Amino acid sequence: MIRTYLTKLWPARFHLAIVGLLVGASLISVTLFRLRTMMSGGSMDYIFLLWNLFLAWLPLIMAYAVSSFASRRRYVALTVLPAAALWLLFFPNAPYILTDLFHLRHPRPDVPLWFDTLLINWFAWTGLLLGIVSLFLMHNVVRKAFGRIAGWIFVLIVGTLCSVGIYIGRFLRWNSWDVIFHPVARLGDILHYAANPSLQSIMFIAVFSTLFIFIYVSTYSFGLLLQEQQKPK
Amino acid sequence: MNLNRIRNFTHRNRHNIAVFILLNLACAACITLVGARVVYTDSTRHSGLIWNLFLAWIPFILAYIAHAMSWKRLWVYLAIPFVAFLWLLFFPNAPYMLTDLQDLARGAGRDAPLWYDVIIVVWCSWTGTLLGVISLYLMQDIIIRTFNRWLGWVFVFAISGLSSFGVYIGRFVRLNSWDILQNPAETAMVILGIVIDPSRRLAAFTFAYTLFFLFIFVLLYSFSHMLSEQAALTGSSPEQLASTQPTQAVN
Repeated sequence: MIRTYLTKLWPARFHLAIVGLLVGASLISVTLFRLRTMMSGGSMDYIFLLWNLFLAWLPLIMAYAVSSFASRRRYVALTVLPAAALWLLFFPNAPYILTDLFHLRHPRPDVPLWFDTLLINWFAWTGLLLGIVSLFLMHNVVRKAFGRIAGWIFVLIVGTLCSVGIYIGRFLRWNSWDVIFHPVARLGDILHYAANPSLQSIMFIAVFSTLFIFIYVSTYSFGLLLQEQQKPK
Repeated sequence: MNLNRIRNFTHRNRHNIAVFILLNLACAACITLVGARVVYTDSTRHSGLIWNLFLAWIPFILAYIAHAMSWKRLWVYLAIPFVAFLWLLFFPNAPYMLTDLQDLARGAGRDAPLWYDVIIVVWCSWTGTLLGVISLYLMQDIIIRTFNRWLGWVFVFAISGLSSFGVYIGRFVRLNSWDILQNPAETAMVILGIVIDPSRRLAAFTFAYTLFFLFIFVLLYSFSHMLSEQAALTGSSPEQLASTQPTQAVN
């Protein structure tokens, strides 16, 4: 019984390892947050990190849903497209945690600075890596369906859209679900901002999308580098 | 003939070269961002990051040298211990970049927008961490080939612990990698004093950053194997499929 499970799971062991690692990292992050509340005598600073980490998990779950829908090859258009749209809507939440580093500018007196740095580092890297893994899953779906070049174009577009999303979330303070609940009002707002972009928004989106795409590409080529090293010479 | 050989070499090592170019581009980007900030605001804030980035390159280069030498059996025993010692000395400079985020808290200098500073620091710390991960990977590869897989992972765990301790020394005791070469006796005494009487801060900091660096390393390692796993599961590209070898995950 156990053996059949093991043989079934073995080909996907690195997927499982990654999910396990991300779960572990989330648990450690939550533990660190708990330690912080204890150390500071019950201060609830940084509680938003927990919420942001929860939001960062959503796109990974959706990306897994998309890739399993896509491999089933039935009702592909009906299942994949809505799931992919939802994924795109929630995807910016994962790298969004990186911008929580903003809060380090105002150090809190009740806890040493290095501890807060550590805390936000854990949360930010977990969120960032959740984003990279979910983008990889989607990239793979696109690559299988439309080819390699289309896959990389997809990464470039998503990288840019995601920094637009982060800008909207950080500076305009909207949430992913606003698009679902108030579609008309939000669409009007977005059109308004897109028609008169501020210098800040252009700069932020340009620099941040370069950063994010760079992070993804370097992770990806690092992965290929490991494979290259393992070939017998 | 000769050209063909060069072409073959670049093709075989194309991902190595790609990573090398990417890291150089990242450094160029960091320097540009910091440079733009210096020109625009007339303050030299964050220029220390460039120096840290330079220091993070040293273990990377040393690891490449060691890795290139390790193909000759004799070199492994003669020259590599020396290079590995130097590497170990400079290695903490790479994960050290992760703690540079706390520079954001130095309140002075509201002359550039906060998001710009955050992006500079994030970019530098990502580059430094990646340099560290790659150089640690190369050293682990030497250990695995010379001894065995088990020892390779023990090595990674030990180095993560040691480097977090090194980061602590750099961050709080403000010692540099080369202090141990310049005046070894004095530095050794200082370090010994810390080890004999560890503070709670030292224990917590070292433990948490060890876990953190291990998490990043093992995750990137698994991610790369996921690339080939995905190819094997779906049978998409025969070239990637061919390179898939039985490997073990450690988590």
